[in-house]
Amino acid sequence: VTSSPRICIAHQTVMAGDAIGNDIAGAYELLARCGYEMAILCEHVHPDVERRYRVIHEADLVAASAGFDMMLYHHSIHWPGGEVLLQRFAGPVVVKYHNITPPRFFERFAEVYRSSCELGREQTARIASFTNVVRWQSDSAYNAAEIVAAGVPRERSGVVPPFNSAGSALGRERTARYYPTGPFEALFVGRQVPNKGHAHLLRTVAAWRELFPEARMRCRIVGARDPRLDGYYRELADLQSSLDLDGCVEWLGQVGNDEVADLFRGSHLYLNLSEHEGFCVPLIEAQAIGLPMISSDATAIPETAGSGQLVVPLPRSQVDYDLIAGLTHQVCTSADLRRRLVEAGCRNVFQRFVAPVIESRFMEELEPVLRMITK
Amino acid sequence: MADPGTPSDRHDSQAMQALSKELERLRDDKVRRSEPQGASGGGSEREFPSLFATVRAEVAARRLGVTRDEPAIAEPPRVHVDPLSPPRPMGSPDGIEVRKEYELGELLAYNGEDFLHAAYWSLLGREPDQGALTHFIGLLYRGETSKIGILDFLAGSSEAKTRAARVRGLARVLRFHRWRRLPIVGRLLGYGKALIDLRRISAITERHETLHFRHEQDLLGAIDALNALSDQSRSAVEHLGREVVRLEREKAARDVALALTGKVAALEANAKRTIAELALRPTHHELERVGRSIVAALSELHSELAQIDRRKSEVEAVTAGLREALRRCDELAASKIDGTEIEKRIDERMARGGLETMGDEDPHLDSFYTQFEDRFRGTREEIRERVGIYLPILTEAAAGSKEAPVLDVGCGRGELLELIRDAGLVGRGVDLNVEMVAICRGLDLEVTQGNAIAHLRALKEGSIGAIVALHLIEHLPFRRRIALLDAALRALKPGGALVLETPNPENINVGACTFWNDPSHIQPLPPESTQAIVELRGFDRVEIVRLHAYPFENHLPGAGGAVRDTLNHLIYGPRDYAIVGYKPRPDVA
Repeated sequence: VTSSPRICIAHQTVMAGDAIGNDIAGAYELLARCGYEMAILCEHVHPDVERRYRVIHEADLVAASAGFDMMLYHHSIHWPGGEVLLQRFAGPVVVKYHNITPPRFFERFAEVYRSSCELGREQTARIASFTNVVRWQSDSAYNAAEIVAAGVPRERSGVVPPFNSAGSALGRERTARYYPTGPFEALFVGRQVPNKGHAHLLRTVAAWRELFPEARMRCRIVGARDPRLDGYYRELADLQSSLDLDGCVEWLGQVGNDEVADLFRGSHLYLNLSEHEGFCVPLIEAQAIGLPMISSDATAIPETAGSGQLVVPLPRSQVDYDLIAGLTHQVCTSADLRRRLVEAGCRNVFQRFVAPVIESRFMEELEPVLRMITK
Repeated sequence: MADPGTPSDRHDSQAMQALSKELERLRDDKVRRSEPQGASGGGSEREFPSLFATVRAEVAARRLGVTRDEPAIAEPPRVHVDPLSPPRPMGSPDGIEVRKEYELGELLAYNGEDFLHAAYWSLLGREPDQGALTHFIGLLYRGETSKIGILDFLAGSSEAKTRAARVRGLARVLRFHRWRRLPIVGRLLGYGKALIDLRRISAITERHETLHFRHEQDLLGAIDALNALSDQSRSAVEHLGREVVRLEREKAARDVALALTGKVAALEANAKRTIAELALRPTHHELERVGRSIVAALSELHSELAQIDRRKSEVEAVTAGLREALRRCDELAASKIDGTEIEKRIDERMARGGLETMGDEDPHLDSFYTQFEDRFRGTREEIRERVGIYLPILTEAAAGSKEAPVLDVGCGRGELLELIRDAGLVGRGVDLNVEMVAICRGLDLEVTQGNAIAHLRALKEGSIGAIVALHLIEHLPFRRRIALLDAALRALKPGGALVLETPNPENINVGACTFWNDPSHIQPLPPESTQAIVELRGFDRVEIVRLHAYPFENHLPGAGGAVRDTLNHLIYGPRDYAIVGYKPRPDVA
């Protein structure tokens, strides 16, 4: 009797339902289906994850990793213990890079995050030199370019979109109806952190209100808050107050998965003016559910959005906000335009981000390493 | 996944129609559709140039307050059926007289709408209705009828028959047309007519060729003009495009400048506010303090004024009593009763406490009062400085010589006497307080212990150059004050000076508060009242010298104003005053 090769997936914290949690779960399930013996190595884990998968979160992860043939290491944050784990791991390692937010976004608000991001990026450069890291996978070509710039040889780098559940929403019925003068509900989903461009949303709503007083529009913003970013939230509150947007913007905080799905279905437009994204899962969730969208052209966003979408440069002046507000109005009032955007969005998800496509891409990228451990 | 759209969606603007075409083009772009969409990136302005341009124009117009109306549904262009016929205005027929009979050729000379107008006016005597006009133009345009056919139709109508108008030659032509439809005869007739018409047709053809050539030339000219216009438009559009880019850049720069200006203004405002706050802070405290003082002072002023009123009544009553007493004294003098005895009795009756009786009643009070003065009157140096102002008055009155010495009544610790001595003048003192006298004598000053009035009375008449009583009279009841004045007047040399210093109740803080620090004070003495009494007792050139105002720095700040000045006077005004009077000289009196 020969035992199956054993693969561990390592990340400092494994949550249930967030982008990285879903990616880890997708890889775990796929490899388990392929017959590999799987486990997750981490320091912190959500109980739901622990119930569904084999999770090792012992104090000595290095010792725990000794029994595995290969490691799939998810790199999204500065993790000192993870670096030690990588250095000591005897087998081949594949690093999945999820992007670390540039520290400058946190400079004014939280030193702890600023330094964490800085250290994380420094750690990326060190990991790039580890000889046991044989492959790098990135969520997007943008991320891949980043790690190549950090020192990863181009030939070792590949793009594998993150496993996600957006495809399951394809074809699900939407509840929003478009009337000429609204009300129109714009939606944005994402953690309330400084790189997500919340201020751009507020200014766009203000521009809409000035330009299209005959049609009402409200922007609903979903996403968890972090108490250490109070300064950022105060700034947003001041801006909202100075623009007199009470009633036009609704901050919903963190909401459950079902509620998010309802919000996607009940909204008229997905408006994403984020300034930095390594992939941006909510974009494809919006596309999958048939929500037309307008997004910024920052970092990996246009790549994830795919072709045939309304992508605008990051706004810098009132003219830009007016343009975005005008495009938003067009999307809300022109069925023809919506039809084309939605069609392109669905095609994007279907062709690039549904599970079979990602699984195929993942296995294709992993195959050389899997061959190494099954010899 | 595509939604059905609402009725409003069907009213998309022309711009949206252009957009639709653009999107259609993209949808049909097979290469793009079949290409895997990957890292090449998403859509952009390049993919939706019309949409972006339209939206930019739309929002720019809205920013300028110009809301573009939905494009109106254009009226279908009027069709001039016969292009050879120049259009004629609608309305009354041009060149058609309304009469009973017309020549067929006359009507056939018109074409298109003009023909219909002419036919209607000639046969029916009215304008064609719009429906009929459209109907007949359509028939003519499609070749489904001819002008003869229309004239036949109209002439056969009951309306034309009623009007009895006729077209000469029409019946003949119609007849000919009917014959033309016969199998053989018709064909022969056709040939015959063709031969007959050949010349006319040739002329018409020539005319048409000429017209055609002319129109062709016109058209070529128009095309050239359009081409030129198109070039101009293109360059104008390009220019506009460049202008738009430039304006957008300028706008962006202006936005940045505005934002910066706004920030600078905010900073400036903040700075001003901060400076104002900083500047106001002490003022607030000061104002608060002053405000509290004013409230308290005003309340005290009210009570003081009430008290002054009461005192005034009392003074009037006392003056009346005094006059009565003087009258009785005169009577007594007339009846040869000893006036001194009477005065003594009056003094005894009027002395109801005060400094004069203090030592008599309790010898320990002298010591108490000395300590008390030490605490409240001020240091020796301060008093010396204050009383220094009297030296010029004394010298002016030629006092301070051995023959005309200065007498300090109630000399206290002897500060003035010390000053007089230091100035090389001769001065003496008298004080009731044993301890004070001891202090003065310790300073080698000539001081007598005793009652001031008694002391003055004991002096030789006209033997003193100047009498100074500093802070004495407020310790005396009214009648004793009178007695003091009378005794002083007697003791002074003619022209000798009398100086009486006392707290000034015009300063409401003094009148309401500090005056009463000294328990042996009997009553505050308003300057004018004291001045009047001194004058009434026979002194000459009596004047009030107000002293010891608070320094200007303590005054209420700010520019001038009656209220502020009044308040400053009441609160920070002179705390003491002196009455300076002179014993009249015989030559002056």
